Amino acid sequence: MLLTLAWRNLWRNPRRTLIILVSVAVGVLALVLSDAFSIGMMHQMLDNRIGAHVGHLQIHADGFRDNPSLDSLIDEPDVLQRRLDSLPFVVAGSQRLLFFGLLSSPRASAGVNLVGIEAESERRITTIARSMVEGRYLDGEEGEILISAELAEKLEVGVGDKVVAMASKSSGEMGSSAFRIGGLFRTFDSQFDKTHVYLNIGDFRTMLETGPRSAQIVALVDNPDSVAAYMPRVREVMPAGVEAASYRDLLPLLILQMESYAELIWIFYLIVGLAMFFGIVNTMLMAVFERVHEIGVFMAVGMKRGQIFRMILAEAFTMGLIGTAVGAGIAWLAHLPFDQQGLDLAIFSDALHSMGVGSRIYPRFSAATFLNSFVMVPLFAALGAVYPAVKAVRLQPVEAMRYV
Amino acid sequence: MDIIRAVDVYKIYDDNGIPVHALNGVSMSISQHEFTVLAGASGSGKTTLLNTIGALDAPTRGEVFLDDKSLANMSAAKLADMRLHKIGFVFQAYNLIPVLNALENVSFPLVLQGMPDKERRERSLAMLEELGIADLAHKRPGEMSGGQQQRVAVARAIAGNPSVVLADEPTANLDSVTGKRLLDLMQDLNEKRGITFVFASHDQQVIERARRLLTMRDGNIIEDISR
Ligand SMILES: Nc1ncnc2c1ncn2[C@@H]1O[C@H](COP(=O)(O)OP(=O)(O)OP(=O)(O)O)[C@@H](O)[C@H]1O
Ligand SMILES: [Mg+2]
Repeated sequence: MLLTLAWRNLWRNPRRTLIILVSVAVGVLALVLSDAFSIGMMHQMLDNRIGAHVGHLQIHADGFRDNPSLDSLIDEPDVLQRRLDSLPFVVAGSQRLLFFGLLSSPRASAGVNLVGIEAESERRITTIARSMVEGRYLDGEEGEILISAELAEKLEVGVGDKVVAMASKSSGEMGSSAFRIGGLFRTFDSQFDKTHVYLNIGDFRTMLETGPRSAQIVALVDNPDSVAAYMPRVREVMPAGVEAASYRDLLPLLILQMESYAELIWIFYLIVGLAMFFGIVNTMLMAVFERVHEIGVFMAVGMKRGQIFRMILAEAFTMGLIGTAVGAGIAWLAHLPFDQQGLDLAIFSDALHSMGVGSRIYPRFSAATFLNSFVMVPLFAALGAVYPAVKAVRLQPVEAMRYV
Repeated sequence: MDIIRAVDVYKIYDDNGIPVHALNGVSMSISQHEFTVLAGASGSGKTTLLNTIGALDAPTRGEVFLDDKSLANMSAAKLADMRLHKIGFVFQAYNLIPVLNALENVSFPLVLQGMPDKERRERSLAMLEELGIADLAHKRPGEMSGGQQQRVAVARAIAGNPSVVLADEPTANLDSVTGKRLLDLMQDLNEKRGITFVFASHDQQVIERARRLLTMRDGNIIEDISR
């Protein structure tokens, strides 16, 4: 009955209630949608980085990540890769040899990461094979190299042209080889594209005289969200002198950004909550002043102050809850058209490309987004009713009833 | 046993710094089955006395007992409980809850008493029936005439089985025919069900029916006639 009463009281002044409902709904709508797009964008950045190069986990010899040198290569990469493959959650693995070097065309040169890959198994790890915009992916033919379309433009070369790669060997001498450009690729990240080139691991080993050693084993797992739980088991099967790192260790800035976002989003909820809080204070004060006489009657009939207090809070809470439901519902419906095709932000394409996002953003609703709004917003609404409710219960029954 | 006992009750209001002596040492008692009217000129203190013995307003001095329990040191919550279980109020302005229909208005004190749903519904319907307004169960106060609203108010007042019904000018807003019907009903409830009524009124119709008439002047009871 107290809820019925709260509910009906809500609609005594429909216009006032609708104004509050609409403002709550709009606030929640903006919050939920921007949250979904921000989270979607960050996940895309992460997925793109994982998909383009990083994979879910990587194995290196100790020291390689801090100081990539030919002295810290993995000695028996095939043995380690077999051990990795034996883990039930590892779904794909591939070896790489990668070093910083110089790539030169007759007209220009650029400092790049030379990435020697096992062309076939790399296909299952990264999206490079699917990111070709011209020519074709490495097909095992010796002496081929893949560079990005962007780098090709900078070096003023095209498919079929020759480039020379240079990197220092363990002896300290410079090793260099000529390569033919087999194809051009383009990922979501222009910064990445400018600095990565791919060649066959065999060619790179020959050029640097490393023998059958590798610098890195990269692998994918069945469920990337569980990677933190998988890592101890990966480390268990790895010998001393080798370290395993997950994408969370390998992309610390991005992970930090996502985690701090999750913490900072509270501030936005707080802002929306506060704006609504004052709206509710005002609305409920008006409601209480309009019903002074009635509150006196409630008291005369035997209603306790606590019950009156709760009734007023329930009214505001309901208002917050409905507003949130409407806002979140509209947000959910509004995102549907973008769920499959994404939001096309082609006009910001350059900026997004340099952030490594891609020009379409796929919104991503997290349970936390909804939970936050459904908990925080009605709670703030109820809090906003506390002061009006205190005013109400301070009334003396006789005086309240004299008031018309 | 007296249902109500007031002992040397004073009520002094503060009217912008000027003390107003609404009650000047009233002592009185009401026992079961009474049909009593407080009469007296406007401003003589009828409403004040009714509110004071109804646990709605605290006296400045003196003591009120309801069913032999002193109200003097009760907390607000305890006083609310006394009103809920022992008192039924009927006001001049009906004072129904506008957003609740007749049935819900009558049920309201029963909800507060914690009566189970089914029993509450049956009791409320029976009350409406007893007052001849069962057909109005689903009408809201705004859709009813004054006489109908006042009958709902009487049903609400007696629904919770109070020790006494306190009615302040219940007929003042009604025409004389409607007022007479309402009084017939209340008299019936008094005679057949033994419900105790105390009225405050200067309506001659009400005064005529009083079996006990307390006349007030300047915050005192100056005459107490039983007939
Ligand atoms: N809250 C108040 N503040 C100040 N004075 C008050 C207050 N309530 C009542 N009074 C005064 O107390 C006196 C008694 O008032 P009360 O309402 O009890 O009289 P009454 O007999 O019910 O009159 P009426 O027949 O007009 O209803 C009056 O002089 C009134 O003005
Ligand atoms: Mg009066």
